[in-house]
Amino acid sequence: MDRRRKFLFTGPTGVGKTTAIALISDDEPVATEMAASGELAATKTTTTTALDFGQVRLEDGEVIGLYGTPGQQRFDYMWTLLQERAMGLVILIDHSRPGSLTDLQRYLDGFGELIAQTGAVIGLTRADSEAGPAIDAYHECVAEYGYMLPVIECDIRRAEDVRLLMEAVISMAEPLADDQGALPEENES
Amino acid sequence: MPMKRTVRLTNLAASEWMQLELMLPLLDRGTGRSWQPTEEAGADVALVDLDRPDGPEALADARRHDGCVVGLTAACDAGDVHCLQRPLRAAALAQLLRTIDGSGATAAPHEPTGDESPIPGPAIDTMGYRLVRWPSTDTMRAEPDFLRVCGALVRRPRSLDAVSRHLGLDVDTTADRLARLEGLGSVERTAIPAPEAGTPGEETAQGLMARLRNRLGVG
Repeated sequence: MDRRRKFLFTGPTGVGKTTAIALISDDEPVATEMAASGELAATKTTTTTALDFGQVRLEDGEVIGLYGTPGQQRFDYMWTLLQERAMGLVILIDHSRPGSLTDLQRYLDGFGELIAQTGAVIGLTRADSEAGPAIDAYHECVAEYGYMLPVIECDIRRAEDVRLLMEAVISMAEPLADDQGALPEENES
Repeated sequence: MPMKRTVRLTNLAASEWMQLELMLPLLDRGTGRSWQPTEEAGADVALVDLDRPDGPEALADARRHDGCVVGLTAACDAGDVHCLQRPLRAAALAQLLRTIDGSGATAAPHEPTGDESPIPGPAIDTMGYRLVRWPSTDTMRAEPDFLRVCGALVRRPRSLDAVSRHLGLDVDTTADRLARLEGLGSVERTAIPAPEAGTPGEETAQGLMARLRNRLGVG
């Protein structure tokens, strides 16, 4: 597993993780895709089953990784591996999708250790849909876990919106940078 | 222990009231005095908003009851009283209070304020802010600083001074952002342990996050 410092993008299949990473990555993101399985195969010809990878090069040469986690739950085991050396997490939730709160709970459960350490930002896509719950319901769901996380309505196809998500996640990571040693060390190898 | 002085905030708008309430306790170190905001007449110094319609009445009232009168105005001159020019700046306020204090003009005409007594209670750094909830998406879009202020408070409360240093923003700007976030119900005042402020971990966030922020063009 790549040991560089990184930010993670997670969320259900098709929510826009690949799109978000592509909008801010310096290079064309590398997407490891395979045929979908189960019911998903009927609606999507390919799905990200391993991970998406993009990167941002800083002026001093350090490279920050941008990882999109697997969309399908059968690859959840990779979440634990990806959390290593992560500095923050963007959880993308499709507001129009039935069970969007359940989706959120799944990621709050799966990334609990990372969220407790670095925080996370929740990006609500298709937020104008009337099918989803009230925005406050997401805040309440997060509060039940004892977290206070920003919930940002966004159009993930817009770079400006992806930057807003990154601004939020960086703002949460910034105090860790202040508190010496709280962020993962730069990879020496 | 700094000596106590009172500053009466008279006819000021709510937002400036809040800014001054936040600023005044921070001026202790720069002025050698403890400047305590009050609404009570008979203060050492009275701040009067001369730009408001009720400015003349408030000025006359302050002249009768308070030790020294300062006119807050957008103009360069406040007539025969001390002038504090808008926008409010902590440095300008500190300089003015030092001048007034040095001139010995702070004794109120009516009841003495016991101005040489030490301040009772906890040190001023025990006042801080905690995050209550993040602002709405629209607010965060419109005010990028709000994200950073809330991010600074997400794990633990911090003093105004500490938030200011963390963000690399001046105290006036930080006080303004905190006051507005308080008005939105996103932050609230709270007591924090005194050692919390001024610890090495409170320095401005440099390095990695600043470079990343710069690279992505955010903030």
